[in-house]
Amino acid sequence: MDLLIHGGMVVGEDGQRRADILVREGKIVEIGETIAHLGTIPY
Amino acid sequence: MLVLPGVIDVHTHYGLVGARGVRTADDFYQGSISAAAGGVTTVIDYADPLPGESLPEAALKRRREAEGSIVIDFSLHVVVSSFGQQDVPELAALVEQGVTSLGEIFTSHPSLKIDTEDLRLLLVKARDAGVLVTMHAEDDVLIQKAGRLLRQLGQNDKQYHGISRPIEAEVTAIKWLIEMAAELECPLYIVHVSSGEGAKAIADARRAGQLIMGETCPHYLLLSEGKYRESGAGLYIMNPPLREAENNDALWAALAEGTLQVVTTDHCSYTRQQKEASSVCFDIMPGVPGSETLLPLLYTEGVGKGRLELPQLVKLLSGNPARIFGLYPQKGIIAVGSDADMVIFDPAKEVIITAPEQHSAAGYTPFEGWKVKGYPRLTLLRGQVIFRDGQFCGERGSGRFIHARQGQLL
Repeated sequence: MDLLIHGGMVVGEDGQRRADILVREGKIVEIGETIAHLGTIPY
Repeated sequence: MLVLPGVIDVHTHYGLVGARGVRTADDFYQGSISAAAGGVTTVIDYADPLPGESLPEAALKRRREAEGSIVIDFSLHVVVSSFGQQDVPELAALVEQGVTSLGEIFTSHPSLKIDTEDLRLLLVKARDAGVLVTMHAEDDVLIQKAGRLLRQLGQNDKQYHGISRPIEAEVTAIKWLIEMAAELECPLYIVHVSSGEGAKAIADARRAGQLIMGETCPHYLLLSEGKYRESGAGLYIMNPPLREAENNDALWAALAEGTLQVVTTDHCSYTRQQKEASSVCFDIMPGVPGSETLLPLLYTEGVGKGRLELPQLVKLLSGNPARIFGLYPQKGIIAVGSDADMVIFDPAKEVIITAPEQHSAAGYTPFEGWKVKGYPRLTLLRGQVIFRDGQFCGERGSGRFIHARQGQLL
């Protein structure tokens, strides 16, 4: 099942940026400014 | 909300059987639930071979003990207390099994202390096999000497714990190890550095071009030796001990400068009853719980107080642990292709740390009453929400063994 983490401030060692993260089968498959997707994880 | 990579706590002791057969309260299940509550998604625990057991046998047995119980992913270090030529092939077998670090190897422990010649051979053969040796650096001679003196004076109460294992013992051991590593041209990783002087010895070695790495823990960054003169002092007994407060600042600086690359917890959860079974500092079970409060404390006291930048925090808690212990980039980073281990972190959420709210079976926290600003809302392990607003929602045994590769020397 795909999951979308929508609109968080993604933090890495080189800084932070607002991004969506798409997860499929336990792996991160896409990180982008806006990923169109139906289901999100509410938080 | 911040989206952080899952935290990697590379120093935990779940179900550790200590002196007199006393076992820590957190097994792989309860300990990993507590870790997950704090945003930890991977731990590295220890396999301790029984007499006659090979290193690969011990690792496999420990792996089986964790599987089916642990709720987050894990890897293993293997403890070595003796090492000869006949043991050399075991290193390659360990690497084949996905175990690429040894330790913590003691220079002080009564039953686990390694012979110097064994250690020299181990350092060379481990280097050649791509296995990292991690050392608990306290000089046994100095500790025995301090202990004898305190016993002669009848000074064996908790308040003397710091004196019984002085900074000098840590610094002497670190310098001795650094010298040996230089001579043998081997890398080293020093666990739970507790003093500014210890960190300085590592900094000097690194400036000289040696590959010496190290970690410290929240209790050495935030607590000080005065705890041993307060009520409940026994709860703060750990080895090495808490130091004078000036060491806190020196260790923060060592993190900011990159002298120490990792913050971990040495999570070792004896219960209050176990800790308070004796008032003699030499007999109190050493260790404190900590995984659950690692991220909130480091965020509050590090980022919140300007000691660390947020990207540095991510490096210390996720990126560097994964790199050094061969889990990167599967773990330790939010990137395409990596495991979806993440923490949805609310930087504005204020929490007062109290034992009843913690998930460790220890029943106490050394940070009782500390106010933190910044707390995990969700913890995701490989895309599955395993903790949400203080409630565990994962499954027993859902954690997987992660096959470590040769780590990076930072």
